[in-house]
Amino acid sequence: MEDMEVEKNSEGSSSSNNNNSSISNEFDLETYINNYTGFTKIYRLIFIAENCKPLEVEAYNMALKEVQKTPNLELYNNIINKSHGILEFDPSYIENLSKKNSLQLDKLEQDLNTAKSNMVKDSIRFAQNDLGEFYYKLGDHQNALKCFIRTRDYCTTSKHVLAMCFNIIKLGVDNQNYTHAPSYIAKAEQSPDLDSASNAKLRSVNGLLNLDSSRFKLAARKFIETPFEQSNVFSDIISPQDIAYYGGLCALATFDRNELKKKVIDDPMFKNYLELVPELRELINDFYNTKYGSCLKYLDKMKPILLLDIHLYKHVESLYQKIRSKALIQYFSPYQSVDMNIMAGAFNTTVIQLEREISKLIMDGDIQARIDSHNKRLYARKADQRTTTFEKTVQVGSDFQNSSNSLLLRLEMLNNNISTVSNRKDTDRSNWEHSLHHPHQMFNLFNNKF
Amino acid sequence: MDSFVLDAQNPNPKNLKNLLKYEEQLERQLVSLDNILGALDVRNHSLGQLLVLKAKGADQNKNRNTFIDQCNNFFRNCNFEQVRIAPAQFSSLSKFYTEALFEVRQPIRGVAILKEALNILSDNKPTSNLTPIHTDFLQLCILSKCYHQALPLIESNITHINPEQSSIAIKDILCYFYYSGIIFTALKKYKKAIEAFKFVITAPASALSAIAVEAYKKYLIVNLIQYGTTQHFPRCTPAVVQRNIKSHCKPYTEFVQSFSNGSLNDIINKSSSGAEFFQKDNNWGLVKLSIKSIHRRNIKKLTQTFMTLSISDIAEKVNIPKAKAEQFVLKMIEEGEIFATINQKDGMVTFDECFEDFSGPAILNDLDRNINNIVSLESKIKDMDEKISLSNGYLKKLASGKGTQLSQYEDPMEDIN
Repeated sequence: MEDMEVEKNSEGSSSSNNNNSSISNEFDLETYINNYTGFTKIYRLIFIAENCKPLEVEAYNMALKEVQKTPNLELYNNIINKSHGILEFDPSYIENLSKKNSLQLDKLEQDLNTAKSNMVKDSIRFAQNDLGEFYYKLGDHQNALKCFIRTRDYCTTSKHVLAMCFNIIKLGVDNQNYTHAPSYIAKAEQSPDLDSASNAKLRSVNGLLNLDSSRFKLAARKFIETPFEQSNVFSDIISPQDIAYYGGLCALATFDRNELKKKVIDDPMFKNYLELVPELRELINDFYNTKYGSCLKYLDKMKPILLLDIHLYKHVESLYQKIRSKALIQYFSPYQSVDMNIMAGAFNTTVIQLEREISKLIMDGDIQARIDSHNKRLYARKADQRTTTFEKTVQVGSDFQNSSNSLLLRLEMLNNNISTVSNRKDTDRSNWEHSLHHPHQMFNLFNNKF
Repeated sequence: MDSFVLDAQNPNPKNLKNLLKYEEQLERQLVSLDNILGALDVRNHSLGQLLVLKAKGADQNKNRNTFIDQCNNFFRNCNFEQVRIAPAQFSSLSKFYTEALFEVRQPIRGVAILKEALNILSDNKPTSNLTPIHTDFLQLCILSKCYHQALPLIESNITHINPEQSSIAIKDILCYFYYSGIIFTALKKYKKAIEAFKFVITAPASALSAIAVEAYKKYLIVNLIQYGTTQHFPRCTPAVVQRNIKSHCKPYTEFVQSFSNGSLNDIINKSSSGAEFFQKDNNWGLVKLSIKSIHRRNIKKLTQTFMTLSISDIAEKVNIPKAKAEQFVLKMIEEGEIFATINQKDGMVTFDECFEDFSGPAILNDLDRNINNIVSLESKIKDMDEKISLSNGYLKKLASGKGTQLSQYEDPMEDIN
């Protein structure tokens, strides 16, 4: 408890960190964004600019600078439109670039045609690839995808196949559209000369894919399995810090204590990632050592930064919810009864708030306990084996009787050839339409009685 | 007609069957039926009386009160042996009788009479053999609200029907279970009601019956009252029913849907948008009950979560006004649904856990009864199994199956030789 008090004081100033204005102090846009290259850098900048007012100007300016390194006009227009007045159009730039682009496109298509007429597989693949690459840079993802998929027929070595897979996967990640990715990831994983860098890349993309569809446990596994690469080889998709964040948070939300210890805290490979984000490492250790107060404080502090992440932002709430519930469950697990005032203190929350959270967990069956709302205490519930056994037995018995009885009667009906048949075939007996108005007219029973 | 009277008075039981040929003639002699009836003695000439009364029942212009009196007399005093010769006629008489009672709005007069008559076609085993009279009896019980009279009957497990002996048809069976479902529902024995309605929709069928549609509607709503959700079709539901039944009860399925994903407002909206249908089907009261059951279930959930909780907290959590919350809790305590005490001084409710500790003679009796039921059920199943394994069709199939197996074995042997 004393530790916590100290921490509370030292961090008292930043406790209002949901406020955007303090983000710019804690969050260094420049160092963050320099982890990335390629289009993801631009997309991330735009995302940050849209979601964080204080960083808007800086981010838009950076994005503009980046986009001017590429031939992508569409994105250029997009950024300027979105910036509503911060940035201005440069007509001469647009004119020059569009001329240059069409020239380049012509040249590449010409190359492709020459290659095709020469019938050399490798050069066709090369030309096709170049064209795809250029389309990708232009932002024409559909044509890029077409070109990349076409190279498939001209791949001769497994290296080529791998390159093709990565191109397609990259497209998917940039669009946040993962329909093609799983099959190409599987394909790439089967490739015989998979070096550790591409392996890392595949794992992390696989993690992203699972994160996107909210399969957090799988995502955590994939991120944790990602080999650590010193050189930032996949900066056009994801940074090592991201892997630490994504993997760590997903693991925290879904792993049990043993798994957390074995696979996250003691894992030699993932340790490297955690070193990159010391707060995250502290946070996970705190969680493991049941110092929930400081753990949750770290999490709160991290939240505004995580909300600026293009992949993670939509899952932050549900991940946080999961982590919190897990912390509550673990906190209570060794006790017979707990004073909710103390518990609320440990979780930096009010008793009323805590009561609401716990009652939800109890109703979902995650905590076996009952709340004494009057005295603000939480009591563990002992399962009465005898009673439950009796209840179950009686239930099974009556179910069996019901089902056997109706089964016997149905058999008897079949034996006697009695069944509902269409009116046309059997008019004399089962004239069921007649019977319809019978119950209708006669029983005005359930309308007014209640 | 004199020949009919003479034949009917014939003391030789072998000749009684001849009487049946007069059936059509009688229906053309509506005016003289009362006279003929007077000439016959109810105890000795039961079959004759039965035929006369049945002919009279078909007459739309009969004097209903005299007809009912005549029937009462007949049902009380008739000779079972004679009546069993003409089960179809007896069933239709009981239908006419029921209808007449309904038309004069005095259904209660027939309850006791038909209860006795249950024995006639069921070999004196009314609790295991189903007859058309059973259906009429239940109908009268519902009309006169004498549910308790029907309870022992519908709580017993009926597994036998005998169409030759009782002339029972599919409509009687379906209606019987539909009616028992209604009675169980009225008595708030929802689990049993669900079983009864379930039987109606799982009965063998190659066409969709209107009775099954009505039963399915009630099945859905009673399920909501009891469990707050709905179950899938039981596995043995005929395909034709599974495919077609939902299109006949659209407002119901929509209402059920709103239960599984909707907020309270959504549910109430759905119920009022389908209100016209529900009222037309006379299920409006059940729909309202199912909405009320949400609050009850929520309160019940709270008892598992809390040991003490203030009334205002309950009201807030269940989303009802405070005054109503106390009423709800009080009512649920009274009905034994929850175990709790209300402390009005500080507005606290203390919830206790279920007190059912499964000891004592009552539960022992209950278990004993259930075990006995299952033992007798087992013997029934054995009988059925024996019957099937001795039946012609089964043996034939078995023999042909063996034949092919044998030939398979024989073929390679021949090759070797």
